[in-house]
Amino acid sequence: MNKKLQYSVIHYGLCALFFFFIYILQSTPGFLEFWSFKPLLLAACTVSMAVFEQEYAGALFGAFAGALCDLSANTYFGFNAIMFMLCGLAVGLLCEYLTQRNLRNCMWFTAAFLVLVCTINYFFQLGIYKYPNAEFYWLKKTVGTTLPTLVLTPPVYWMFGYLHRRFEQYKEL
Amino acid sequence: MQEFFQSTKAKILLAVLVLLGAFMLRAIWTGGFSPMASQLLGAVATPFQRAAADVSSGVDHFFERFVRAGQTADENEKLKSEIVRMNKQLVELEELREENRRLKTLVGIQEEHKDMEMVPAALIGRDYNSRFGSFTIDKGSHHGISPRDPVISEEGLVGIVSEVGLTHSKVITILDVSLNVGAMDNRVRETGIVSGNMELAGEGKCLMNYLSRESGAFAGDLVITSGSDKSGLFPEGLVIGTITEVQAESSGLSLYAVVEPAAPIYDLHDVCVITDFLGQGEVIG
Repeated sequence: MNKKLQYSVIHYGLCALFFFFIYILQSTPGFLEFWSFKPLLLAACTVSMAVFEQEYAGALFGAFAGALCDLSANTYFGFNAIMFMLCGLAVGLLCEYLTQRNLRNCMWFTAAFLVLVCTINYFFQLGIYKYPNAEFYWLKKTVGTTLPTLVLTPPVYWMFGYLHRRFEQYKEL
Repeated sequence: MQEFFQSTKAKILLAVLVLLGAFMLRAIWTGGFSPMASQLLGAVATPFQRAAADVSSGVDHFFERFVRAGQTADENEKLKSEIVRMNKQLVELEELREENRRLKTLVGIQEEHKDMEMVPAALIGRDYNSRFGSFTIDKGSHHGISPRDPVISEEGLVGIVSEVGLTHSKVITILDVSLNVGAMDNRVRETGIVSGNMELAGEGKCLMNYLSRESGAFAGDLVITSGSDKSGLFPEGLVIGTITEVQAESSGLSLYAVVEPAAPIYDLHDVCVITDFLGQGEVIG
């Protein structure tokens, strides 16, 4: 195994561990829970990963993050994995061809993705059944998930930025 | 961008996408049993989730002592006076218990829940998408749990198992709008359907619908499972909660009651899954 490949394996292995660690934190009952709302930190992780590591790694790690979410979410296995994968791909391509890599854009992407995830979840779980007051529930859920996630996005962004810088220099050797 | 979509990487991503789509279709097809990939991922994650849940619960209990110090002192005073009052009641209750025991023996009533097989489980996960208080437990098909098994706590009915993995299961609660439970007002023996309500779920309450106008149901009445939900999902006699309010339906044809569940849905730590009971899965009517 050459040096470049070795560092890539270590880098992406650490990223995978970080995703797993974030999933455990995110799903721990009572931890980071605000009035029964929980942040979706894996969304921030997927977006940050795609911002720094581009579309391919963004999409694959997005699929991994989504599969982790599917373990405890009230959705069929694969639903979140597909959405997170497409998010990672889209953000990676946007950062590559259209926008700059910075925290502000990362937060915009995270917010847009969360609104999209909550809306699609709402549509398939409640919207199509036309339960009364379901729109109000969607609004509460979307705001309650998006705001705490955005507050916690900067440290996640910083962590992925740090890993990217740390390993980029070795990969260029 | 065109270069990317023509590259090998894009083809790999497309293959992954198709694979995930296949997983999802299989999950829909099997209805409640997780696919192998989910079971493997779950088997790896469950021990870590259990450890994290234990740590979180321990930290919660530790700080609760300090946060609630003032409240505990007040409670202490109240409890002291209550002890005096209850000591008197205890004498009366002892007599009543003896009488009750004799009556039970006479009519041959079995001890409560003796016909049920239960698996104790700990709550290990709540997700961003945990609608209506749903959660993940640390027991799965390996421990004998199946989809649609009822879940209870020591206080009363919690919900049902919605999806089963090898070592974990997902549970939806009685606050969920998609779950209907055949219920009965224990005092007046009037039946109805308990289901979640979008507005009341935030307050941790649910509704009991289709009570007849002449039912005589009142606030304070105990609501239990009737065992007549036509699907054999729930055994008879599990405590659901207490009626806090009774109102007429907008049509005026029937009444509905607001029910406060006996189980603390948003503050659960341990539950029991009923894996077998008399009449399970028997379709009535």
